[in-house]
Amino acid sequence: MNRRSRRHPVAAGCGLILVLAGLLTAGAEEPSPYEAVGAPSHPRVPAQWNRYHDFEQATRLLKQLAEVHRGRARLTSVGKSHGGRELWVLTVTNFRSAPVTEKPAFWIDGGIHANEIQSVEVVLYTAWYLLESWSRNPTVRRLLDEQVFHLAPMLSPDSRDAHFYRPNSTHTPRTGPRPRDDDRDGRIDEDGPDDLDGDGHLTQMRVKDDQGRYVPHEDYPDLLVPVKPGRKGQYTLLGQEGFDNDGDGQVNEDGDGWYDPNRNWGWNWQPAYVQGGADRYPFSIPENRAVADFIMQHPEIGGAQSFHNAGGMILRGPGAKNDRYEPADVRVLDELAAKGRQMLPRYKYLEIATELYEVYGGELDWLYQTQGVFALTNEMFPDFNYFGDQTNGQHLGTPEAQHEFNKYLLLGEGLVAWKAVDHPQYGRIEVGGLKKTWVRQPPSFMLEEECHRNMAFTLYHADQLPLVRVRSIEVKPLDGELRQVTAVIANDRLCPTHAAVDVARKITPPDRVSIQAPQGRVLVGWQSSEPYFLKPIEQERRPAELRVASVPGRGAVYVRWLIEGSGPLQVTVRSVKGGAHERSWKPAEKR
Amino acid sequence: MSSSALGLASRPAVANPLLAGYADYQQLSRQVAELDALDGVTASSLGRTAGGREIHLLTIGTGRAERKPAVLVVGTVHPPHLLGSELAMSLARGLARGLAEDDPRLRRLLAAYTIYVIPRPDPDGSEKCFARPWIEPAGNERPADDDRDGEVGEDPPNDLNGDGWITLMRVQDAAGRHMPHPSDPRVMIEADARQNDRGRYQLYVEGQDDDEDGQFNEDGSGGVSLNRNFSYRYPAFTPAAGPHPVSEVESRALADFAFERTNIAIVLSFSPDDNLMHPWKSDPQGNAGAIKTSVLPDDAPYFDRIAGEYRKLLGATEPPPASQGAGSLASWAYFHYGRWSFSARGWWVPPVAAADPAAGKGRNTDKPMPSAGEASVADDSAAGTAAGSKQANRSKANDAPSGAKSVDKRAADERNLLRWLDREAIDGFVPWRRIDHPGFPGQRVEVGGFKPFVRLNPPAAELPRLAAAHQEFLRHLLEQMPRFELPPPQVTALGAGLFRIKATVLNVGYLPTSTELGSMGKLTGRPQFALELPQEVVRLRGTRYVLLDRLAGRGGKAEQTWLVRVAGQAPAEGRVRVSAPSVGSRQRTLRLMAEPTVGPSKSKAP
Repeated sequence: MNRRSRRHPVAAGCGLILVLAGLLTAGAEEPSPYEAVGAPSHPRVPAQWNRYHDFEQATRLLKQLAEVHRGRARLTSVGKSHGGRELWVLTVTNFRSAPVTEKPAFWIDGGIHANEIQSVEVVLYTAWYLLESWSRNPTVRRLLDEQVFHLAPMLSPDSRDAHFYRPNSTHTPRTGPRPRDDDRDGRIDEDGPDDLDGDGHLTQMRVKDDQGRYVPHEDYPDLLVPVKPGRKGQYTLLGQEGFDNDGDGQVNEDGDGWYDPNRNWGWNWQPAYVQGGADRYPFSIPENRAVADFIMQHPEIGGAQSFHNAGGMILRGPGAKNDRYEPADVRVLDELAAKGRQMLPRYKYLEIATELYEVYGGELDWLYQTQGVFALTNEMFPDFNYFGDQTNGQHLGTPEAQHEFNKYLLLGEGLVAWKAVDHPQYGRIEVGGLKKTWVRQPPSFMLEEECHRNMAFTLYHADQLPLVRVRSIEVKPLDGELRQVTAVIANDRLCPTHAAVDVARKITPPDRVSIQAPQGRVLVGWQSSEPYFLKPIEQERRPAELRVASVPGRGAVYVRWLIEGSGPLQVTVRSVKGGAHERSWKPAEKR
Repeated sequence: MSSSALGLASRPAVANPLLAGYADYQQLSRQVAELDALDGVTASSLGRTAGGREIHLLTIGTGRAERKPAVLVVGTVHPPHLLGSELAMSLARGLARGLAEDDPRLRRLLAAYTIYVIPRPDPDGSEKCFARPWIEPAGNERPADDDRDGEVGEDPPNDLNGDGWITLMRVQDAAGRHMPHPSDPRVMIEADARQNDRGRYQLYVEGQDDDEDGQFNEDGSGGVSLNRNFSYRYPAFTPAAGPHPVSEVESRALADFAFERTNIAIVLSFSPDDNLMHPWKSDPQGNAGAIKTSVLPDDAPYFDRIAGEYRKLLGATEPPPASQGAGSLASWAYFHYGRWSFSARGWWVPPVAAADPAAGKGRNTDKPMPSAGEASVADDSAAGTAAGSKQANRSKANDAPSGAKSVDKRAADERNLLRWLDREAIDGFVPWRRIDHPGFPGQRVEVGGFKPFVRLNPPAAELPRLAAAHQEFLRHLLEQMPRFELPPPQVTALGAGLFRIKATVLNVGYLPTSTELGSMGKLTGRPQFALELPQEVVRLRGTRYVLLDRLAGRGGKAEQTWLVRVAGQAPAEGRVRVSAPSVGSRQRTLRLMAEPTVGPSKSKAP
């Protein structure tokens, strides 16, 4: 394994861009005479969204946001990574509107697969956008009054750093850096890929070979294609850059890791012989465990988005065919995703198990099945972004489309031209191919749009979390001192206060609807799913605090009490995932 | 290794009379420290629990522990099964003593193998056994909302009659489902329509409805059970299972330790997930899909044979059914850790013949009934106490004096238990006595039934005999370990400095070099077959080392050929070596000379 950690030219370039960006923002004090809609054009914390942030830069941005927007942002670290990096969670809400635990909360994470680097940018963008828009955008203000956003931009910070600063491809590293003996030979991470030309990009190896089965593509000569029958080949492909470091006759069979952080969650987990990358046991990866612990300590989280790339998809669980979701909950996810497909043109909406591939121990399933959270994953950056037409359904575009895009849109910057190197086992060969910095990741001019559209969808999703309200209180005098009090507990949002799976498993306690009658005595209490109380459910024990299994989405629960005595009343509803609300009632002044 | 302040604080004023002679945490810690002082034994801690207790580990053997194949012994996996830690400690003591006394068989075994002993992996849970009221604890000290109502521990069982034990309550009720057994009214059985029975009692665990929710004792915050917290068939959303698999300090410490020790070949645990009296069977259906749910066919014969040896050594019959192992340590150790996993209950109430004045002598015991379907009885603490509701028919033998016309066979286990208690003069049953219970106004309520622990742990006087049998079993296990043999490699000089080297490795031990599941599941290390050569020798065929598949037991073999070229005239020396962390290693030197030669040296373990 090549462990050179020097910054390669691309990384150095990023550093330079950062310096320039700093100069530019410093010089951008002059306001634009024309304010474009979309992102705030005069932010208090300057940021640029056509570039990628490394761990340190992202950390600085988060700290700055938390510092500048103190009443609306708090930065906490839920733990440390294997490499000692903080696992940041930025909590964004109006901290003055209500206690954090009494508001519905939405979870957003990025970068669990570290090579999918724009999944971090979209979370950073969301934090920045919400905080910078608060002062000028009433919708954002309402959202932050009503909701809490927990934003965890980097779930695998060590590997993000590795993708930036060490040789990798667009596909790596998906794993974390914890040492694992992949080939079970007693040696750990001893034979990973090697950056033979030292450019920071792990590309392909080829050798000139009259017997080879590959020739250069007619229009894009850097692309090798299979030779047509009857024609003479020119090259043999030798795989990804690397050599047999440990002399076992295999090339690149045991690199850093390997495990898949998104196959390691505590629901329907299966060992590596069933699910590659599962690692040793659920949450054996401490980064995941720290995040799961945080989420378990925040049962008010009712919705979640876990960003990935690529392919342009909105995904829902279940991840495996042996698992199932409650049909009522699937209907909620379907409706959320329908809006998403409109906001993210041409994104597909798929069930992972049956329409993508099977995933055991994925984060989405853990969120839904054990925490009752309506969770979705967006696979950002679709192949149709290249030229508008969906090219092959392989999520990343055809090689032709990639090279065509490189030629006309990237003006050739997207690849490393073939060059000769000396290989310890193969002798003189050539290395070359697409750079690690795109294919899965959007180029600069597409990044900002991806971030904004995906964020907008999560804001819609969050706005559909349950929000309970005591809509009305109606008091009807009966005989003597007896009064009948009827209250409507409404939830105008798409999501119920308890997903069907939550009700079935008692994941969170029931909603509590209580009446305070300081001058009266509550004799009887019951609830009904319709306003006529045709089949009321009576609660014999402690009728003053009714336990309601769930307030449906875009619906209501009707509660009724018989109270002896006069005086004012107050009805309070407290829902773990749906917030809290109260309403008072006073008897009309006599005469 | 200091005993915690908390351990001191929770010392009971009155010792649990059914656990006389069993070590509490402090005594166990002292015993561990004593062993630590002996040669060949090292004590350490796998971690500190929520209750501030250490998870003791003893490493036993001579030489470098992690370089030798190992057996991991885990004691009390199910917290009230204190017999487990007593047996684990006695195994450790026996090994240490054998070393001290220079027992040649043991000295040889402990030079070749390492024994890791974790006597009490859930010390917090087990310590609850010593505190009143006495009840079989489910798990550790994590606050657990057993009934998932959002409150923790709001309705535990209560010792209503003040005798220190949590037993049962029977409440007279025309709608009741239970009735006294016709021939022994102390035992409660379920009314059976086929027998034209009339139920007269409701059965509850002793206690009141502390939180007035209409349910009795539904949330005692029993903690998380180590034996329900592992990842194989993890019973999510059931009491004592924890928030997710391997969520606890204890289970994580154990799993992390195990995964870091690639040298472990066998896990021997003590628990009611008994697969030594009830060996796991291979079921083609369970192995048809990607997810394996029964022993793989190549592994099954080894489980069977070793279980057979255990039965011989223990010499006991009519075991209770094994618990089904959802989330258990023993099933995890095989299915998700890929090792040979044996779990022993160690002891159970023996069949006792009913007094028979007519015949005047004992009768043969019948074969035990098949145990399928009796899943949860064995180690659910609550159900274990309330087993009156289960129609256990295991030891139906010796039920009644011969000549008696017909004996109701129901609750045979419990009636046998009563006979055994009588015979051994053990005070293990609380006679039904009336109490006043405000929760059942106007109804007759009695408290009584079997005391907890009595079925799980034998009187301490039994321990030496059981220890000896398990000691012998452990030695037997060590003698079944896989073993490499490396016959002299064949070296052929082809001329012009070219040599062909053919080497063969054999597994001459009884067990294969790993389980089939371990190798299929990529969980166990692969044997390496290596040819080490000086720099100037060029390999023309064959790499520096190859990784072998699993070698079968008793003669499984693998061959490897290398072709090399030695530059110049000087003879070169090389070395063929085979090694696997859980098997051991063998090597042979060989000389590459102009004339054909045979490797001269004899096989030796490095």
